Amino acid sequence: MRGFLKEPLLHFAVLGIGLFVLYRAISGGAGAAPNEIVVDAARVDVLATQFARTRQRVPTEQELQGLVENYVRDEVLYREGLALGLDRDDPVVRNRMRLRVELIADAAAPEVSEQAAQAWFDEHRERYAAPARFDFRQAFFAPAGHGERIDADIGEALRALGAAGNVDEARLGDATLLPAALRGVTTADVAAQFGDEFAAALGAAPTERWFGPVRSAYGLHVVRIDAREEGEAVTLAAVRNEVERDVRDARAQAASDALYARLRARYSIRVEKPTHGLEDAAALAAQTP
Amino acid sequence: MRSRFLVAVVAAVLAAPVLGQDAGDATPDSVAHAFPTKPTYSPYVDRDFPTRPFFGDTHLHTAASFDAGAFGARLSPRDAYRFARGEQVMASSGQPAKLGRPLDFLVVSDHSDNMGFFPDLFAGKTELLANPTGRRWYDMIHGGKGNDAAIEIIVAFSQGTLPKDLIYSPGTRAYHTAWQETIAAAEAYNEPGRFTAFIGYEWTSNTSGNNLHRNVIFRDNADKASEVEPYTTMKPLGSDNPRDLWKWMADYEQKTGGNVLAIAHNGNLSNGRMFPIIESFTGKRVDKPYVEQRARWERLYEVTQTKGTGEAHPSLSPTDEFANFEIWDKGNLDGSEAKKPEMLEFEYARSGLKNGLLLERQLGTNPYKFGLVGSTDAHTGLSAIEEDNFFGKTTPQEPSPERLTATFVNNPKTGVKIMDWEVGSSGLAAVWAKDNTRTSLWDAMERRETYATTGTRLAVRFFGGFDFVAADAQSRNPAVVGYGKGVPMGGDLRKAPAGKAPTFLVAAIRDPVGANLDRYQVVKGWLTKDGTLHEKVYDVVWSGDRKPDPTTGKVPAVGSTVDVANATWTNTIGAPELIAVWTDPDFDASAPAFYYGRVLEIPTPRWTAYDEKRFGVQPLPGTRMTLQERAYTSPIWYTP
Repeated sequence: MRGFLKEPLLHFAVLGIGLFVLYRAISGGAGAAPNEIVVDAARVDVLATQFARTRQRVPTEQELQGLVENYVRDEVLYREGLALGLDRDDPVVRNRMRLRVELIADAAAPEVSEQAAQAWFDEHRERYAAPARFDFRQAFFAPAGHGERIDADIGEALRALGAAGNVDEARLGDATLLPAALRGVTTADVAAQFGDEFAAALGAAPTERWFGPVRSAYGLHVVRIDAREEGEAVTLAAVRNEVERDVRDARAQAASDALYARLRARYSIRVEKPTHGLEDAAALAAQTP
Repeated sequence: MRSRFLVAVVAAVLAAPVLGQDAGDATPDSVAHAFPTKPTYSPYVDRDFPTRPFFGDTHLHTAASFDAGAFGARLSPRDAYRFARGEQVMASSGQPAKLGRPLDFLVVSDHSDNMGFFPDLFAGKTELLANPTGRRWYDMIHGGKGNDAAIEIIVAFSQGTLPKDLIYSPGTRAYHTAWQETIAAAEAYNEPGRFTAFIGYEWTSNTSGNNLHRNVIFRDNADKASEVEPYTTMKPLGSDNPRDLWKWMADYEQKTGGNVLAIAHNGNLSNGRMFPIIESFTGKRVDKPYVEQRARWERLYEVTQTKGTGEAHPSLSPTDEFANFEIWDKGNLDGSEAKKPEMLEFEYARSGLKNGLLLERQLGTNPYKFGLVGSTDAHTGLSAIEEDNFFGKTTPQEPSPERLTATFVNNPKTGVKIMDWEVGSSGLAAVWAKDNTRTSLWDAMERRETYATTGTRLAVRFFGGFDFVAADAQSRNPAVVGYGKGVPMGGDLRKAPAGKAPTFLVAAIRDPVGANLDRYQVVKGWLTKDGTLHEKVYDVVWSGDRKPDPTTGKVPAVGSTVDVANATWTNTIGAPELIAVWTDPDFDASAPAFYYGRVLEIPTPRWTAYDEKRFGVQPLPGTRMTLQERAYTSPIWYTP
């Protein structure tokens, strides 16, 4: 953290904010610049057309609202950027300017105090909890090999496994590269090999008895969970670094949003209805090669 | 949890006498015990080996790389790690990006030369603007000519004409800050057991535009990595000769007690220099120190990435119908020199592996005894190479209606021209490690228990030994048999027992959300007494009831279900899983050899098909719209 205070980026940010404040003081603040943003009909048309060209369909009302919001955000930050003297009349720079103004907020995040870390940790405890872990065995039944008999074959296997303690599991089911037994694995580990559906089925299943069929990305399985360890709570001390990282990420995001909100509040924004319907935008998009 | 395991283990020990081996010292005997007619009580014995491959990227650039920054990348190493872990980020082109599935690990490998230069140039740092060239580039970037500036910067770097004032070199404050930021990002996002963020960098030897790049990956944490600054190529501090990089690596290990390895890539853009017999720096044959050090420091090679796949070249392997895959063979990295046919032999992995056998005979050490990985080399901060979610090689190639028809490299002087559509959405490094940690993954890389994929996540096993029998392919636990009776990919076969030929247990299972498999092949290369090198590709196991052609011995093509117009396919052909035991039918016990697995998926839409569908843009004539994704395992070597 102390190293952070030596960061040139931080110096830049502090300087940037200072200049910003100074500029506002000298120029008399919001009243000095034309602070109205008009999202005119032509602009809305363009936004809708661009969307339609990309997605091959017209935007929903909500999406269009999002496009307009995004445009307004661009416009607000662009004007602020101009006011900061960063101007070059170029669309690339326009985008960059938005990033740069956001950067000012990003870099200003202060140190994460013990209280702040604790508060964040309390609020997001589940994020840091150790995930549930399983020991399990499985036998695989490939649909191609069993055909219509697959359910009967699985039923027979389950009966044998339930009845006798000394069934040779190595002879049950089909040969497969999928591991016959795994120990101490998380749901995410299981999903990476067996697929999501199979992994999800382990979560609610009984332990210490064979059950099935359970579907994986490859076919059907009979499964026995030998042990399941529910996700454990952890102490803040154990995950202090992760918490600090996430608090800083969240603060940077919040600071960026807050700066935007402050800046945006100084503008009144008017959005006009498009002159023709969105279907026209779609038709226009379709003509474009 | 712990106590419950303990109870289970105690119970197992009481119940069964044969327990406690791990794969490391498993012998054929112990494996026979593990598969008696009566099972051992505990199903978890003999499980101390990797049970799943971890998928990651060993080669990704962010804005801290001078060329990536010039091309418009704005994402930092922190953004890159967040994205790879599965979080949504805003791409530099202003569109949100998120992976279909998170990666297990990532190395942010920014160029060591001028690391951190670009963010400073972009921000208009006064020292840089004081230089006329710096000023001009700054104006170009801020005047919307970032691409042109990027090309100028890359050419200036390649040709060694970068103004002295603009060189960011180790020992300066700016450089120190950039390296510390790289390390800090990896430290912040490294979570053992969940996601591994490696510390690394790229050493970018690029003499006259000929690619000899290496990625350097640390096994260590910040404490040791912070004791050094990356090795660069620019004199006097750095060097473009790999021998000097190896010396730096040795010095690092000696100074810190840590470990590093280097992975070279893009031999296809080296114009005959990647796997040399004659060293380009001296014009002389490689010597004993060269082969020994290369074998020591370069245990892996990145065989597939966005700038082409370099396993085999169709003109070097004319009878291999799958050699012509995502080939880039027009020239060197910056297009300043066109390709000549005689260069190819020293550029591709297969011919490199073969020449390694020859050099070993002459010098006692095989310098090209490398395992295989794939990675992206994306310059966007986004390791995004799913075909339906491809964020390109550089920022201008992030998804847009233009990228199907735009030009990537165009050098009118040499006639080298490469279109954006030729960029491949590839690849991944698959690592058979016990745990998802820096040390466990790194150690697996060092022992070459890795394979390359062109972007999908099929699981591939490849074991070699002298005792595999057909029944092993029917095992419910092929991996137990594989580790017990043989060596995994990346290993060495022992001397052949009299009258025996090497046997291989080969197995692959498709990506849980991916395409079925077409075939599993074994590629063999060998050196006969007369000094001649040979290669042969064997179809070992394939889907369906296809019959090999009686004259060529080749299994016919699997067919295709791809609907290009809609960018879809179905798993109605191919097999979800392939497993077999194969014995080398042409074995000569006196001939050194290598064997590696190549697994092909059924055809699926290439990223270009998704782009055509989504953007409604007509692709250029000749654009490839489908591909057979594949995996290449690290070889297993036989040395008489």
